[in-house]
Amino acid sequence: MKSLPLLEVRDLEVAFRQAGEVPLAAVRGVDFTVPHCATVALVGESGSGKSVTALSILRLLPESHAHLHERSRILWEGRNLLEFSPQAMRTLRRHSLGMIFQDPLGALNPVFTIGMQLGESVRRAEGMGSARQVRRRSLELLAQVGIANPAARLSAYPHQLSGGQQQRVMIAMAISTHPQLLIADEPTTALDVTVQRQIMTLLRELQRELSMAILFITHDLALVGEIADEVVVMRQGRVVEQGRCSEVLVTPRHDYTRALLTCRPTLGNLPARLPMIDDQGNLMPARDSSAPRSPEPLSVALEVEGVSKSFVVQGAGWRRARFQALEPLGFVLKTGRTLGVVGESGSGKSTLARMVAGILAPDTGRIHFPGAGVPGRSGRATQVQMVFQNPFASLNPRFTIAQLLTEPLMLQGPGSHADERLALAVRWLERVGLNERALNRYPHEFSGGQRQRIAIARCLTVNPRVLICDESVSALDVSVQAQVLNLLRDLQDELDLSLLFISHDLAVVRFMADEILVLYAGQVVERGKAEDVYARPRHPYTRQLLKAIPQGIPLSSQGEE
Amino acid sequence: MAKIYSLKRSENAWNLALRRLWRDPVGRFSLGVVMGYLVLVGMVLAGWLGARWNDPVAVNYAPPTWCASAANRVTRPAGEAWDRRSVIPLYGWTDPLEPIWSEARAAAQRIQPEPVSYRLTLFFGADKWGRDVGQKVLKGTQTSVWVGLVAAFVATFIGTVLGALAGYYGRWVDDLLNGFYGVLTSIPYLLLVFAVAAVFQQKGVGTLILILGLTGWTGVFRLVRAEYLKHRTREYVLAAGALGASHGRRVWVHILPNVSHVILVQFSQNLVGFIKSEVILSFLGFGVPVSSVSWGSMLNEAQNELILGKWWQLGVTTVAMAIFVTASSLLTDALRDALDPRLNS
Repeated sequence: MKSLPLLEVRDLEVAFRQAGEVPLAAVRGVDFTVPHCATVALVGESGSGKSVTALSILRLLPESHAHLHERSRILWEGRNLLEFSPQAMRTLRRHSLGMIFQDPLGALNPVFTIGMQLGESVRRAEGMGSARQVRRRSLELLAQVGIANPAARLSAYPHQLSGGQQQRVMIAMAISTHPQLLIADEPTTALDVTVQRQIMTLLRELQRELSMAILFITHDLALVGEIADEVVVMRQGRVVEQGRCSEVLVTPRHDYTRALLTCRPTLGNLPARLPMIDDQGNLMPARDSSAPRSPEPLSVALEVEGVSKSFVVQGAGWRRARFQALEPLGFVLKTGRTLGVVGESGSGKSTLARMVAGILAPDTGRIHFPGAGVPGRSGRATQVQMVFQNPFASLNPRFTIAQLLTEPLMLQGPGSHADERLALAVRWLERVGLNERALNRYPHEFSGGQRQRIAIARCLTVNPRVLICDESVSALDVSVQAQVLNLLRDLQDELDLSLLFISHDLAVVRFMADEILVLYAGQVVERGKAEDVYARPRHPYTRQLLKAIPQGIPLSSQGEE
Repeated sequence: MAKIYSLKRSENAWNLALRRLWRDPVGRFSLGVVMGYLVLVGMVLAGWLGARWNDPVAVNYAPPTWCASAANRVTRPAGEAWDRRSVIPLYGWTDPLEPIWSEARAAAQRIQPEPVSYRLTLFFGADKWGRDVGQKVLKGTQTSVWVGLVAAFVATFIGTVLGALAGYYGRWVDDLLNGFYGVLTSIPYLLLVFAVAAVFQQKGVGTLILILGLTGWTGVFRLVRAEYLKHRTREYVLAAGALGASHGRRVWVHILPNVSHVILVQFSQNLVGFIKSEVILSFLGFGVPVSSVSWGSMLNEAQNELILGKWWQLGVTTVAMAIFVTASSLLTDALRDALDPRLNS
């Protein structure tokens, strides 16, 4: 290691200003150091300022809005980046810095081929002129990031590649400059677990080969242990803890770090309720759970028999092809129990959820709610309700909370008078931990977790027997995720709800589910009791899935564990 | 149990947008100008202003006061027109009509009309018939803005309803309406307008409104359809469906408020476009009848006057129209910025 570290961030303060509004402090005094050839992880939940920190290193923040404090310094091998001329900054970006983003499809230009985009960055970095040289270097890079048949891929358009391949191309573009520092902003968040595992392995190998430093930004502490040497935990624009990965993850000193580590369910640790983080960032211990589940024979809440679905997709030319999203499948959900459905993107799990919710009609088979006769379209709503993935999208932004919560009551009947409906709405709001002050406000005034709780309250107003959770906690921060998961378990115990819990996150499903259904490409590859499936997976796909889950064990202490 | 919850409602999206519009100086200014015009239109409609636009009050082509030098009033003496003898020599003959004339003269003497006075200059000048251009432009503004407003309402309504149905239901509804849209937009605009005008065979403000409204909805249709296509698969609409909301409720109660900003911007764009179309139609003689006046018919008159060097009717009309159209266009832009959060980065 040289005497000067590669990058030092000193006292970084960034505030965003909008005309006529109070400046919003996004980063309030952050210090950390990235040594040569090391990996530093910036960890934090949304709003912690980790991405703003990364963008200010690249000096990519909009200068009209973002204001950096005079005190702030970002030292690149001892020289202050913030005082570089635009020309010098461009040179630095071109030859020493690389960046990869969360959403590779959004970062690639959809109208140019991979070859053109990769070729452009190669030409910039190397100053190469001849097309043949550029092509050779591009092929070399694609091979280096593990893309099979790189020659064919050069002429492909971004949408023709899978998410993992797109991210590999982004990495190829980033390393084409032989960077000394690679900034990776949530590079695997949009990817499936098995693909995430591949990308993490690739990044680790590349780091060793190219001896570059990586600034790895993530919300997932478990992932940090797989790659980082050092970790910086951020919260609300401040660093709460930093140090060697092996120390911080094994013996966290700060309460918030400890909370982040424990409020996320893991395969090994299965409490009845998860610990939560309060508004001050302190850990709240898990409440004692109620009595263990009743073992007596249970009635059936939902019966699905031979349900399948296919979609019409555009085939070659005028022809239309059919895509089988879900092969015929069947299952039974008992009252008060949870069936977990696990699968990666494209496995058909959302199609299943939408058919059970009555949003899509199945091609074949039958969805039956025993004890409810034959439900019609609107009768279905009182039997089953669905909590969607994204609470920012599933609540109508132009409705007040009162309108949102009373609408199902108005449509489905319980509560005949407007005041009565409002009183019921308030009761449910209070049940999910909000109060009547929320009634006349709009969804955008609430945080993600609060919105998801409102969405749950809305579902429960019609007293459904089955609640479908389609990736309902995937978009939430870990601390908020813990709140919502606890709430769901409380409500289940209290109301004898049956849950159809769908997720790509195996640890979360393990925490919630009594039984598991593993879907792969529209087919059930494994089913059984949760503990059996996780302990003794029979199908190779299930085994692969389980192996891909980040364990959160620091690299250096892996031997000891 | 029946507790009354009457808390203050939070600021909704519209208020926020209005506040953003107000913060934008261009938006505030153009909103003020457009509102001023609308108040003027209301006053003309109520008969407080411009009611006497059709009265000849000045000599023909009286110039504006501020660029005329002559005295500004001519008085025609009473009874002058009746003194026939001064005009026709009788050569000793006895006029056979003399008894009737003398009776008429006697009657005229009894009436003693007020001396009619015609002004030689007016602040805004006068037209060929001696009518006040200031009064005319007030009335013309009312006609043009009113036609534009109502026609924009009609067009936006048709476009929104058809666009919502096409976008939400898709399949054959979409194919049918899209086909209709395609046929209508393939006809050159003015040709289509003339064809509709020929079918109505009647000049008038109502006809103008129908012509513009029935031909101008296509832009709204296209945009509203695209918005509905985007929104119908949004999770909040799916959630409403899962809660048992009917298709109609999803289309009009859930999605419509979320695309209303697009519709408002389209409305104000149509308003500007229709006012210009009205002017073009009236200029070409397809617009308002002679018993009425609009910016278009004034400009039509002005082309003959200009040859004689009488520029004031053209000047006043052009200024009135330019201010309104420019302010409306600026307001449309400011509205779009205020209503579209994506542009407010």
